[in-house]
Amino acid sequence: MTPVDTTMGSSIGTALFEERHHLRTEIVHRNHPGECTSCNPGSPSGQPRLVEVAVPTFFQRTDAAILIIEAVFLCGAIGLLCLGTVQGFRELVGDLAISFLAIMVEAMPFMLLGSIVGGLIETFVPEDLVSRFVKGRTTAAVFIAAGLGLIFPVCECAIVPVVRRLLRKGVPLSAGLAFLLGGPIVNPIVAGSTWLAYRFDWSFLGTRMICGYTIAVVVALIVTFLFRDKGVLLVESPSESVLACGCSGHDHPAPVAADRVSKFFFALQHASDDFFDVGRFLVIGAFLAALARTTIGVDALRDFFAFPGMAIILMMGLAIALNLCSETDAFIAAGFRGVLPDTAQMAFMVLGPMLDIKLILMYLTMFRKRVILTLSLLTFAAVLAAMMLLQCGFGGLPGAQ
Amino acid sequence: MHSNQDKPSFSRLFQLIVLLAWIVAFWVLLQQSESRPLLAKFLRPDYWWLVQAGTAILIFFVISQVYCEPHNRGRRGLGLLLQIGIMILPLLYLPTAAVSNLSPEAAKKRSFLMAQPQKQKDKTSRQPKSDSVSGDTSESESDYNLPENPSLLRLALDATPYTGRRVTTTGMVYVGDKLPENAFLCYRLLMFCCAADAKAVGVVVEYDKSRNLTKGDWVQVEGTVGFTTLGGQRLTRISAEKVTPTSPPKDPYLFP
Repeated sequence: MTPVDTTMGSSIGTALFEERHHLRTEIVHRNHPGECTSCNPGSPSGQPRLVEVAVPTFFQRTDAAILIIEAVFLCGAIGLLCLGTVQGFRELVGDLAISFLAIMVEAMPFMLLGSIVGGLIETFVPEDLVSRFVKGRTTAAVFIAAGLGLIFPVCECAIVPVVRRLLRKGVPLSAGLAFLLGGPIVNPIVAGSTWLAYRFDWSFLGTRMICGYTIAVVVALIVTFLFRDKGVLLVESPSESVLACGCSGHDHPAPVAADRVSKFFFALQHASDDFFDVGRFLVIGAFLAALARTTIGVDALRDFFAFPGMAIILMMGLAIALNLCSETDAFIAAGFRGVLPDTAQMAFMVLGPMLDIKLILMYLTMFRKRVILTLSLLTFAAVLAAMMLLQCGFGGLPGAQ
Repeated sequence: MHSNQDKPSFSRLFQLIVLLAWIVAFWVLLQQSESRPLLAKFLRPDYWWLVQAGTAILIFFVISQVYCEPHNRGRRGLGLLLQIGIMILPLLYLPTAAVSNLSPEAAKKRSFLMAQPQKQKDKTSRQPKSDSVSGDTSESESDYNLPENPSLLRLALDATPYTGRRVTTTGMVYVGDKLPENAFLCYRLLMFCCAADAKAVGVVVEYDKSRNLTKGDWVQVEGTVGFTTLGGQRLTRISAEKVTPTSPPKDPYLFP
């Protein structure tokens, strides 16, 4: 690590490298009270010492890939919008626009609320409190975290920014993963929607909650075991990470001397940063979901549903493609009642909140690619195994009407 | 905490533009037009508070962006442009969405919710049961209080109490290859949470001039309720005596 001065950023040629350089530049503060001076180089207080961290090629490649994906997506989406002026496509683009806007206006407030919660955690929850709480209770924390949605009911759109902040506050990976996977299922709102959608059938509600909780715990423990000595987060340690003030790496949780109002605004800024970091993936996911809703005919798939195993796998694929909110998906799944095996509907409801296109894209803001791949495969396999066990072992959901 | 005027940030400026654009969009969606907001097209009424809450949060974000020092982070260059482009993409689709309605083909792709529960014997609602148990008694009593113009949802989900009765209901027309020549589907969209998860619910209408009807038109159907089997499913059927074009209802969606 070589010391550099604050003007170094301007000498970097490409926008891509500049951005990554910016994120990966560790700023170490010493004895700076109140505001983050590195964010305000003109401030007289404190002397920020900038230390450049070597930029792995991996990050540049990932960034380049994400930029290309975003560029292709944006061009495609705008192209499709323009195509809507042509007579033959007007109806299709109109349907797409309605679904797209509907998903966005429903999901975005949840994501904004999640960002606010994340910002408040970042600003008001001291790291030492988190570390004191989880010290020596790493395994117990997994079991608690998987059911934490009962107290903090968040859907999958909101949970990503919250978990991002929690992990960077020092919450163990296993607990963060358990909350990430279990929170959007094991919560009272989702329980209520499942209860209503299946007309007060306890077997669907109970199976969904139990499967969601168990799979969240199991997958979190396995992923933690597999990556116990490896980097998991995009920015690996709190000291290097994008933290409190949104600069890189502070060892202060919030403006220490600032009053509550100032702290609140700091929290809002963190929330706003999260909104922009994660929001673009929400837009991409919502667009793909709307496109899937507009182009994939559910009836066309019915012939594939003759065998329970096939039905389960196809419904899992549908859950990934449709990107439905966990508070809504029970109503969609219930629409397949009488057409598909109960286990296939359950697979749709358990997998969707844990893994879909939108979530995979949002995970890109948090985890390394190999972790996302492992997490996705494990979650898929765990849900499939659980549903096949129910189908083959019990002939369906225990106690289903 | 003062805005850093000496260090203008394009990232900050673009983010402010995005936030303001979303606030305006949410405000437009919440505005009443013909006694209902545009938002009704996308979201069920119980969830409108979400958009109001989202607007409030966005306003707080704007204040924090203006009031606080910039954090000097975020994307730059091409990355920033793409981020901003993606974040305002839904707003580019808003005008198209505002003037469009979900087409009959979209309803078909989401499949029609029409299947009736299988009954061993259809009950004729006007025949009181002599050997009724308490549950049956209450059901018989409630049959006499049935509304004359049931919603399409009621007819689609369980029309048994209406069997043999003359009803009037309103919905959209769907005519397709899998339907008999003299029949069409009268359907409405059932919104669970938002328009993306709306599902068509409806009944089969037997009507000689079905082929003269246009997909997606709103009609008022008067006829007698019965049942039919189509594609192995037991469906509600209305033998129509009169089908008249009508204007769309104030709220075209049904809610569970």
